[in-house]
Parts: sequence; structure tokens; C-alpha cells
Amino acid sequence: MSGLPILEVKDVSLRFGGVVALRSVSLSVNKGEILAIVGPNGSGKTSLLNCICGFYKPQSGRIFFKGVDITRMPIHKRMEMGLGRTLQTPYVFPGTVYENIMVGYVVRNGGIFRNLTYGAVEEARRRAEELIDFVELEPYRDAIATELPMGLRKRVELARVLMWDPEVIMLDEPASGLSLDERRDMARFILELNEVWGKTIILIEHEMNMVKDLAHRIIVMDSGRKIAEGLFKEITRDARVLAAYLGE
Amino acid sequence: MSRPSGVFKESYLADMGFIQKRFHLVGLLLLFAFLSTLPLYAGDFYTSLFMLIFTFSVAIMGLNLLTAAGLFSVSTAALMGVGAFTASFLSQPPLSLPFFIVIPLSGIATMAVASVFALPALRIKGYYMLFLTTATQFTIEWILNYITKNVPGSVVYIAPMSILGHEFGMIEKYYVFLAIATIMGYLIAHIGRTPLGKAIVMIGEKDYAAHIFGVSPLKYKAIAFAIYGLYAGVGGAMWGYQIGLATPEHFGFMLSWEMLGVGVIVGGVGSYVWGSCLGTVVMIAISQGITIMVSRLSVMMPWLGPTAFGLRAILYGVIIAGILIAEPHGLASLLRKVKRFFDLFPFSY
Ligand SMILES: Nc1ncnc2c1ncn2[C@@H]1O[C@H](COP(=O)(O)OP(=O)(O)OP(=O)(O)O)[C@@H](O)[C@H]1O
Ligand SMILES: [Mg+2]
Repeated sequence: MSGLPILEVKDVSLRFGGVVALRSVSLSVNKGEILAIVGPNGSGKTSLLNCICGFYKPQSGRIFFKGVDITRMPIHKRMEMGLGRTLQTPYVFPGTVYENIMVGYVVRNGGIFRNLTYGAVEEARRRAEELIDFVELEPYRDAIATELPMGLRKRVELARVLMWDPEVIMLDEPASGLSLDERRDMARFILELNEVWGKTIILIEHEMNMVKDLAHRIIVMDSGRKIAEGLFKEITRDARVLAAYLGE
Repeated sequence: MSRPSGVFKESYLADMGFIQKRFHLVGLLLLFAFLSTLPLYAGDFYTSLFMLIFTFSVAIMGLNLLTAAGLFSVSTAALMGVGAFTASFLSQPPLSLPFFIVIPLSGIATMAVASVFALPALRIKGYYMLFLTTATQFTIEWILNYITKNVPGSVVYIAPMSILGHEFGMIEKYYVFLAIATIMGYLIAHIGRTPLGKAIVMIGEKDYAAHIFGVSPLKYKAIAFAIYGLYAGVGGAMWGYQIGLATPEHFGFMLSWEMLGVGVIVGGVGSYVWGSCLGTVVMIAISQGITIMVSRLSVMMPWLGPTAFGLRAILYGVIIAGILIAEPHGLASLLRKVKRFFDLFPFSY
């Protein structure tokens, strides 16, 4: 299943004034795996993704993607290289679902004049339609994205990220705020992305059943530290993990 | 894909065309029939009024796109000035270039100027932009005044439109203007539906969030500014050809405000073509109407004296507020309602 490391985080620390969000976190993500990151609220999961995608600049540590040091690279360059992430609170702009998805085309096709051709319009269109089918948003294709409920917005974001066909997809709580049915759908999409499309996935999730079903490997965070790493059955026996979840 | 029955398109592109239904085509044809025959029955006054509408529609299209990118600018008039002054330089001896070269070149020159002034704007957005572009407006006005400081009245001239020695009359110029407005309208509508056009709208909301999805705010703000400059420059050159001369006074701060407040916001942000055209019609109708009213008032009540001109701004504000209270997303949304009505007609439930 899993191959060589595609993404490596080495000793990354991040502070906001007095608040320490990450304390020397290291981890590596293997090509083709689903790695789950779990931990209590405020343990630094989102901050870690923000460092990997470039939205936050860590005070120390390095991040390597496909062997390249991306620590100082601007966000859009990392996306061009093949990273992609969704947000805990999805971001859609006032426009149709279709428009919100097809915009992802510009990431790997940034040439200004190329982007203005009919060919580009048609290619983006074809790809967006495929992805709308994939995330099962056909009935909402022309709906205004900002008027959709949370569950559907999360699918819009996922499809948008898939527009540039990233190798590593980071999903920040893709199932939070979703109904049981919607959660099942989301789990199905993630599984298909991994098993059929061969995507490497970093999954942040509070829903333990989903983590148990999907993740090949799990990392547990607490107060900005990585406190455990392993298979589901391993980490659920770990004393530090139990302490973090049940409170000291 | 689920689609309404009876709608069949052979390619994705056709499906995305601007004309989706027969009545869109009918509406468009009626509009063109009206505009292309207008000079034949309307007098000089209305012909030149419509030329003015074409001119400002073009400039406002670019401003509308810039506004959709979350960038508010009140320097459009000054940039039109740059376009008009460039047209003067290119159309007069020694260059004496023909109008069909002068107009695009004026657009490109203004695009370059707008891009330079955009540099500090790339890192800010929203209402902070109003302060910055106010400075841009006055800086450009000052430069235009400086260029013409030895000319009485600061006037520059634009050579008459002509082809092979044949000088165009008002009606011929009208058709040139109609053609330019049509081309520029088509272009901006096309830009609007490309992925690049969507990226511009995406940075308009939360630019930092757009960045996480790989859409660089800096890059797309710069592109929006370039397009804005191009459209303002072409509009400015059109202005120059219509009037035959230009002075910095024509391109004042108030005009910039009217273009943003009425041309774009009353018209409808994001509706690059129809919103801009509607906004322009309202802008010109109000300013013509108020000018006439105010001059009548100052005849009837001479004691008003120069304060009559203050009335202009007040009336302007009242009318705009009224329109925006009735239609908060601008007149383009009214147009969408009409379109929707006909789309569903006769089953409008
Ligand atoms: N932009 C910021 N400014 C200041 N503090 C921040 C910022 N972002 C995160 N933090 C702090 O960093 C810590 C980790 O936050 P983070 O959002 O990464 O946690 P999380 O594990 O994603 O939590 P949750 O499960 O609630 O999403 C928290 O104490 C938070 O308050
Ligand atoms: Mg979080």
C-alpha cells in the first residue's frame, strides 16, 4: 500500500506571541497512504496543515515535499507542485457551484493568455463536470455556492482541489457538521480517492469511527506536540493518548 | 448530467455560450436593431448621447471587473484622461496614426500606467483602496496639467477620425463607437467565464482564503488592474475622438466617483456587460437631467447662485440611494429577474 515518504515535516515549531501552537513536530507521510491526525481541540492540527500548505510560516523546522524544501515557498507554488487542502470552514465565493469548482483550473494552468483561450474554457469545463459527478453535486451545479449547507460546501471544496489533480490532499475535518448520510458519502469519496485515484491523504478528523475505518496510520497531537503514532489499535492503548483525551 | 428536456448542446462550449435560449437571442437582436438604426432617426443630440454611453460603458466595464476583484478605485476618470492624452499624441503629427491603431494603443499605454499605479495597491483591498486611488487620481491630474502647462486652457487635440483621407462624420463615428463597445463587451464577458475570470472573483471575497486554493491574490489583482487600465484607456481615447479635444478638467475626481457609485454599484457589481451598460445609462441620464434641472432652478431662483451646483451632488446621492434601496444588488439583478421570468414563461411558477 504505502510507498516512500512524499511529504516530510522536520522539527516544526510555531508560536503566536505567547501561544505555542506547534512544538517541534516531525512526521512523514508515505505515498499512497491515508494518514489521520487526531487530537483534542486546540492541539495544533489545523496549524500543522497551515504550515504544510504555507499559510503559516513556522519559526523553525523544515518541510520537504517530493524531496524539495518547500519551507519558504509561497502557497500557490506548493499547490502547483501537487499539494491541495480543504478548510475546516469551507470557503466558497458568490458564484455557482460549477464556477467555484472550475476556478481550480488556474492552479496548474496559470498562463494568462493560455487561460483566455476557448480551449482552456472547454478543458476546465470538462474537468469540472467530471468532478461534479464524482462528488455527486449534479443537482446543485447551478446553485449559488454561498447559499448551500455546510455538507455540500465541503464537497465543492474537495472538487475544486481535485481540479489541479494534487498528489497529496489534506482534509481538515471533512465530516464535521455533516449528517450521518453525508459522512458516509464523504468517507466513500475519500476511500475512492485513495484506492482508485491513488491519492495520498492527510485526514484531520474528530470522528473516531471514520478514522478507524479509513486511516492506515494515525498521529495523535496534544498541546502542539505529537504524542503518539501508529495503528488504530496501538494508539487506543497508549497511556498518553488516553490521558490527553480523558484529561489529566 | 440532468438537464431540462429539449436543451441539447453538442459541445460544452456551446452550452456555455452567452445565448442560451431563443428569447436571449431575440432580446439581443432587438437591442442591436435599435442601436444600429438609431442615428437614422434620432437627431444629433441623441446620437452623440449614445456615443457618450458607449464610451463610458467601456470604461465602466473594466471598473466593474476591478470592483468584482474587491478593489475599489476612484481614479477611472484620470486613467481615461491618460487614454485621451495618449490618443492626442498618437493621432497628431508627427505620428498621425489612424484611429484603429490609436485606440488600441491608447488602451495598452493606459494599461501600463494603471499597472504602475497598481503596485502599492496590490497589498491592500476594500475601502483602503479609496484613499490610495484618490491619490492616484490627483497625481495623474497633476501630471496631465504639467504636460499642458504652457498651453492655454491645458487643451490637447485629437485628430478627426478618418480612413484614407475621408473624414468621418457623426454617424460614421457612431458606428465605430458601437463596434468598439460591442467588441469590448464581448471580450470582458468572455474573460468573465474563463477560469481566470473566476479567479478574479474568487480573490474579491477573501483573498487569503483564495490563496490556499492556489489562486495568488497578487497575480490576479495585477491582472484585474491591467484589464481595468485597458478599458479606461480605450474609453478615454473614444472620448477624445468624440469631442476632438481633451483637458485634465474633463477627467475630474467627481466623475471617478460617479463611475464607481453609479456606473458600477447601481449597475451591479459582477455584471460586466449589462450591469455596466445600465449603470452608464443611469449615470448619464441623471447627470444630464440634473444639469438641466439645476440650470433651470438657478434661472428661477437666482438668489441660489453658485449653491445651485451643490444641489447636483445632493440630488445625485438621493437618486442613487433610492435605486440601491429598491435593488440592493444593482440594476443587473432587475435584469436577471426579467430574464428568469421569460426563461420560465409561460410556466412562471
Ligand atoms: N492565527 C492564530 N493566531 C493566534 N493563535 C492561533 C492562531 N491559529 C491557531 N492558534 C492557536 O494555536 C493553537 C492550535 O490551534 P489549531 O487551530 O491548530 O488547533 P486544532 O487542533 O485544529 O483545533 P480544532 O480541533 O478546534 O480545530 C490554539 O491554541 C489556537 O488558539
Ligand atoms: Mg482545526
